Amino acid sequence: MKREMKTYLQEAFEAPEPVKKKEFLQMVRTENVSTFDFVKAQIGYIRKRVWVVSVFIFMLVLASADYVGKESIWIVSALVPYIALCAIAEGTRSTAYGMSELEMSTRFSLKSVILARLTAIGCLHALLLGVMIPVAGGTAFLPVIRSGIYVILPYLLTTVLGLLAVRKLYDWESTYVCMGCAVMVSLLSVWTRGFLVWIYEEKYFIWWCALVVYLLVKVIKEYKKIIYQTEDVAWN
Amino acid sequence: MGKTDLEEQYDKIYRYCYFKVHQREAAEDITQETFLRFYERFGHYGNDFTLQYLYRIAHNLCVDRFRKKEETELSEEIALEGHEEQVLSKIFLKEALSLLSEEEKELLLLRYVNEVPIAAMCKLYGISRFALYRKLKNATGRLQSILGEEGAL
Repeated sequence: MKREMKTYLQEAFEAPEPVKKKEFLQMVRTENVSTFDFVKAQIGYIRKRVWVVSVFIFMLVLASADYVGKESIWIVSALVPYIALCAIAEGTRSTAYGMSELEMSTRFSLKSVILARLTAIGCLHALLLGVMIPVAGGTAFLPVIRSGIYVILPYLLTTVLGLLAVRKLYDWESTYVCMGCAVMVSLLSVWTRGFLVWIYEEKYFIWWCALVVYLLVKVIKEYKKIIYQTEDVAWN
Repeated sequence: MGKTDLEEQYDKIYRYCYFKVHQREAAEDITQETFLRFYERFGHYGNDFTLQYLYRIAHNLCVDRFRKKEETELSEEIALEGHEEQVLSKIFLKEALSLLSEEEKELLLLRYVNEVPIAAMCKLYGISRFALYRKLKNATGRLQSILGEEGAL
């Protein structure tokens, strides 16, 4: 199209000068916040109990490695559901307390905020588990990877069940159900160690790995479903 | 100081909304609502990839507006004293545009005035590049033939 015609078209489609533009743009203008700075900022909003519980369990495990010795890996796998509980509770706080609609209208989207907080908590948990697993696994003379799988599975199972509870119940009662799930998974870890010892044999390890992969995919899917469900409610 | 990217997009969305609803206040409200809903979903204004969502939100809000309001006032804001020739050309072009369909007018606005990239337009309309180019060609062809008949420009 000729430049002249474009100019005439621009004039033909001209609209009267907007009146409220400056105020609006001042209100919404977002500065370039780097991902690292954003995550760092969100750390301040994570409840203190999350850090306290995570570190407390970590200290408990380290202490047990000294006193309990080779059984400490099973203590870790029994305690890990409570660490997962902290992450679920924090990530679904808005949904559980009915604040998600309000928080969706804030400067940064709810999705970004949740992701940032989970990243911060995830990094802490990865660090703690990264220390707990080799320490506790070493006492049981298990390879690190095998110890890791035995510990991560209860973590993921608690997370999946907790997220399912939050999505189905969608209110503050889901917190109690999540706690129940953590207790249940913890007891299951203890029970299987006591009565189903054979499942920890090396020949069944491949099934443990498959289950971990399956649960990891489920965790991601459940989180996505919760986010979409939250947006759906807000739009309606 | 030049316009920022955000400010530029605001103007373009506002122009699009004004084209749809023909009222300054309504167009401003819809523009602001569009950006707020866009930020809710994406958290920040992005790039061409997210541009079609901006227009889609604006389009849907304009349609909702039409459903609520029964009458829409047509405001013609032309008169420029001392520039009669330009004013006449504007009138001819506006008349020619009024003979086009809504879809053709919208295509011309988005492509040649708001300079929306072809890829974003394809995603917005859900059509292929070939189909879009064909529609644009038809729209500009019709406009030029109408202007040619009126002996303007």
